[in-house]
Amino acid sequence: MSPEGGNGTAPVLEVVDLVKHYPIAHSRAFVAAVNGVSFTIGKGETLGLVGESGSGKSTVARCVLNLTALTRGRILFDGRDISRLGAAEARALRRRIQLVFQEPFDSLNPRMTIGSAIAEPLVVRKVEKAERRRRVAELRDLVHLPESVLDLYPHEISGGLQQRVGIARAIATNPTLLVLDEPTSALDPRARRQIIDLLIELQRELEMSYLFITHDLNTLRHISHRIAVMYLGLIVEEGPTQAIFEEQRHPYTRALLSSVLYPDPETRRARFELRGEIPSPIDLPLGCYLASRCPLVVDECRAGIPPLLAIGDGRTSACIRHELVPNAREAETAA
Amino acid sequence: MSAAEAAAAPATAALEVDDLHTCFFTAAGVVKALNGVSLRVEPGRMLGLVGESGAGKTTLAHSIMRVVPPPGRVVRGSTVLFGRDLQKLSEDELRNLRGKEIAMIVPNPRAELNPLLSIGEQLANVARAHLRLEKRAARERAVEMLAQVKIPDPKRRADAYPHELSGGMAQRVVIAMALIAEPRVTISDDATSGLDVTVQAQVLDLTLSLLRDHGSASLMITRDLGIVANYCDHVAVLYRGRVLESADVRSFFASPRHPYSIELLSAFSYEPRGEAAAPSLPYDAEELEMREVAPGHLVRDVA
Repeated sequence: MSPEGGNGTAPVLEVVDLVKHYPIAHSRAFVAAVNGVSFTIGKGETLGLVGESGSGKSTVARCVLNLTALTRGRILFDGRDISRLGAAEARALRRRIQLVFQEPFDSLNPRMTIGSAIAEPLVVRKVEKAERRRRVAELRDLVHLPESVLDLYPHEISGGLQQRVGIARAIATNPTLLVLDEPTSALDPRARRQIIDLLIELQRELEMSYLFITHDLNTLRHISHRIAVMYLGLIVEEGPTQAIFEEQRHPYTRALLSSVLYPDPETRRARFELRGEIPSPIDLPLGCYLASRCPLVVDECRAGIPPLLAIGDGRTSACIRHELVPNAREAETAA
Repeated sequence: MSAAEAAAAPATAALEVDDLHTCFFTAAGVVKALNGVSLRVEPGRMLGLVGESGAGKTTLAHSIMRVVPPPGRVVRGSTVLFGRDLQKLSEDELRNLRGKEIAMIVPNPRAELNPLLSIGEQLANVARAHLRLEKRAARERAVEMLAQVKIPDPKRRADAYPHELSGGMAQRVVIAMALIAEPRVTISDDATSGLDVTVQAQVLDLTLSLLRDHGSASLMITRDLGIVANYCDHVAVLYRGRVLESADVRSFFASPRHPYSIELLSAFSYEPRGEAAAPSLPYDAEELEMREVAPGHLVRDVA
C-alpha cells in the first residue's frame, strides 16, 4: 500500500486494520463483516471499493461515515483518528464527510420542494437566509440543475435530476470526502453516464476525494483511479484501475472481472469460474477465505490468512501464488 | 425485411408481435404505452429488447402474455405464438398455453415463490399441471430440474423453503419453474438485474444452455447492453413504446444507426460508439417508417 495520497500529499482518509463484527442475539457467535481492512485515499482521488453481497463494502462505508462503532482498528481523517469521537465532534465531522445514497428518491423528503431540500443542510448548519439563497443558487449551478426545478417536488422530476439534488445536498457543506454507495445503480444508462460525468467534473473543481462503492465494474473502471477488491470482509487485491483490469493477481479478482459483460459481441471472453459457494461470515475458514473454491490452492494457503502484500507497480495482492493467477485454469471440481 | 431475407426466414416465427398498441385508461387521460410494436423471434433464437425506464418493456411482456394490469388494455395488434394469435384465444385456451408453450421469468424471485410451500412442491405442481404427471413422477421431474439449474444436492434442497435460499439460488428456482414444461418461448424481464455479477453470469450461462438444449426461443428484456452483446442473437431498441432500431447483434454493436441507439450505447460503454453525432430529443416522431440500412438491420427514419 502506498503511504502517500494520490498526488504525493498526506492521505485524506487512512483506514488501518478495520474490523467490524456484529454480535448475534442470544449467542456467542458473531457475523464477521469486516476482518482487517486497510487502505488510503489521497486528495482528489477516487478509490473504487468493489465486491459482491456480503463482502463487507457497505460496512466499511458505515464505519468511515461514523454511523457504527468499530470493533477494532483506526480511521484517520486528515491525519486525525475519528473512530472514537464524542457526539459533538462527530457532528462537526459530518460536515466534511458526506454520503450520496443509492436511491435518490428515497433519500428526499417527498413533501419538501427541491429548493428547500438543497437548502436543508445549510439550515441545519444555521447559515443565515441571504447567504443560504446565494449558496443554493451556486449549488444548483454546480450540479447543472435548471432553475425551474427548485419549486417542484421530488416525484415531479426524473431519477437523474433527483440524484443531482442528492449530490447538491451532499456537497452543500463543502465536504473533503464523499462516500458514494451505489449512486448510479438505480439509474438508466444515459442518466448514469451524466451523473458519473458530473461527479468527475465536481471532483476536479472542488478537489474532493471519493470512496465509490459499487458492483458495476463498467462504471467503476471509468471513474476510479484505484480499486480495492473485497471478499468476505478482506481486501484481496488493490491497485491502479487500469493495471488491475489488464491483469488480475488474485483468483477472486479474476473471477469477478471475467464475469463483466462488455457491450461488445466481439469481446465475449472465457469465464474464470470459482466452484462452490461463498463460506458463511459466521463460520469463516482458517487460512485464505477463498481456499475452498480456488483452483490454485496448496496446503500453505490454509495455514493462515495471507496478508495483503506489495507486488510492485503500486499494487497489492493477498494471494501467495499471485504470479500464477493470470494463466491459471479453472478447477474441474471444488478443491 | 428484404425479399432475400424473407425467403431465408422460416415460415413460422416462434413469436411474432405485429403492430401492438397498449393503452392505460387512467383518470387523468389515456397513456399510450405501446405505439405499434412489431418484433419477430425465430425458433431457437434469443432477441434482446433494450430500453430505459418507461420505454414500455414490461408492458410489452405483459401484453404478449395477456396479463396487462388494469386500467391497461391491448387495443390493437397481434402476438402470434407459432401461428396462433394469443390475443384471440379464450381465457381457458390461454391458461393451457401459459407455462407450457410460453413462460415468463421475472426478477425478484422471492416475490414469485410461495413462501409456504417447499420449492420441490412448487416445481412439482407446475409439472403436474402442464405435463399431467402423477405425484411421484412430478416430484422426480422437479428434482431433475433443480439439478439442471445446478442447485447442489437437489434431492435434499427440494424440501427447502424459499427463505432458506440465497438470491442466486432463488433465481435459479424461478428459472427451473419457467422451464420445467419445456416451453417453446420464454420471456425474461430483467430477470438477473438484482444478482451479483458472478452469479448473474452463471445464471445467464445456464439459462442460455438450457434454452439451446430445449430449442426454445427467447425474448430477453433488459436495460443492460452487456447482456445483449454477450447472449443475444438479435436486438431491438424500444423507446416510448416504439421500436427505433432492430438488427443482428454484431451489426448493431459495430454500427448502431439510430441517434438514440448511439446515445444509449455510448452512455453504457463510456466511450463514443457509432458514427453520427447524436442530435437532440425527441426521437419518436410518429409518422416515420422503418428503413433497411443493411441486411436485416432496420432503423426508424429520423426527422
